[in-house]
Amino acid sequence: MFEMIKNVNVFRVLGVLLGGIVATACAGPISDGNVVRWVEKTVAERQPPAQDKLFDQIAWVADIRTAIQFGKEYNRPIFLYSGMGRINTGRC
Amino acid sequence: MRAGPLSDGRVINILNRNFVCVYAANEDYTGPNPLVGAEERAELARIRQEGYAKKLSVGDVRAYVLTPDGHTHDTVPTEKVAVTLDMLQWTVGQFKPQPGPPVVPPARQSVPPPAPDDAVALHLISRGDDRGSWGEFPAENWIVLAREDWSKLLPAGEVTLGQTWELDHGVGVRILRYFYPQTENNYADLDRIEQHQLTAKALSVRDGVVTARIDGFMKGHHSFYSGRKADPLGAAIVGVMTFAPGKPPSLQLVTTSAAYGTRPFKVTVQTVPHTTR
Repeated sequence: MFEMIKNVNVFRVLGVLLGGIVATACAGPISDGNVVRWVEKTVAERQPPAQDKLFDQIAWVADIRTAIQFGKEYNRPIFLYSGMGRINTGRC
Repeated sequence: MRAGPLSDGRVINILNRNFVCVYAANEDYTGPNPLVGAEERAELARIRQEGYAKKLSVGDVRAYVLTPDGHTHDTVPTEKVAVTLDMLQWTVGQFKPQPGPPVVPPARQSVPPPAPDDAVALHLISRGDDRGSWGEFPAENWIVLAREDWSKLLPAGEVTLGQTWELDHGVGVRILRYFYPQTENNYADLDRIEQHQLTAKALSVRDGVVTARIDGFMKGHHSFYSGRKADPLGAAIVGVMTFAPGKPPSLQLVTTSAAYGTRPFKVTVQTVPHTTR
């Protein structure tokens, strides 16, 4: 039952989406006169806000060997995260 | 973990003041074409072996505390901020490091790869409209187009006002392959993209500089988890490309509507400066 509802929803969403694609390809919902400004504004609006980049506030070193070198030099324990994908880009 | 402890101010503070921090992407260390050298791979393998020997819960996705000389001390629970914080504080109590400034300055961790001076670096940001869990922070990709690639995006000869042309299919799909929201599976094979088109139309030609709008779409499929059933993927796209003859173009693309199964998402792509190699 859940699968059936899910499939119906998939087709609804894709129907709306494909409608948008056809509208974009045929008529262009954004006029030639507005497109440059609209695209620039949209790109700016979709940049990640600072609170999505808190990961960058951690002082990451380049690799494990560098971490061990600094660990010995500063007598600090080492925090190592290892995982699938790329945690720095969010593709993980 | 990034959406939880590694975005928490208290965790970040204790890490920066007391620890040396490092992360490793497993695919850089394993598989047929590892990106890191043999010595670096051996270190991660050793750390895991030491974890097994200590009967720790070693796995593909783990946080570890190592001793200052690099030996496996313990694993760090990462599901809840409070538990992670407790573990880090307990570790500080054990090792008693001298708290102080970070050992290196914190820096942006997603940066364009070095590329030839005349290459075009594109920064892609993709994000589901949902928030929390997979939607908590955006996904990013970097796409580098060498001169021989971006040249194929431009029309041959002099451009006239209103002229239209299709962007090269092969170069286009290399950009559109990353048009999917945040998922656990990130194998973005080109053959996932079933149909796509990007069409340019010259809006202005001034002093040899062409500004063109781009309209297009992509349809394909993508699996949320590796090896599982793929869900349909599609996006309508609008953009702008500015170029002078023989010079690298500036490109911006945005989705006007996009869905992955029932999940709406948004993508932007833009040209950014890059370091030269």
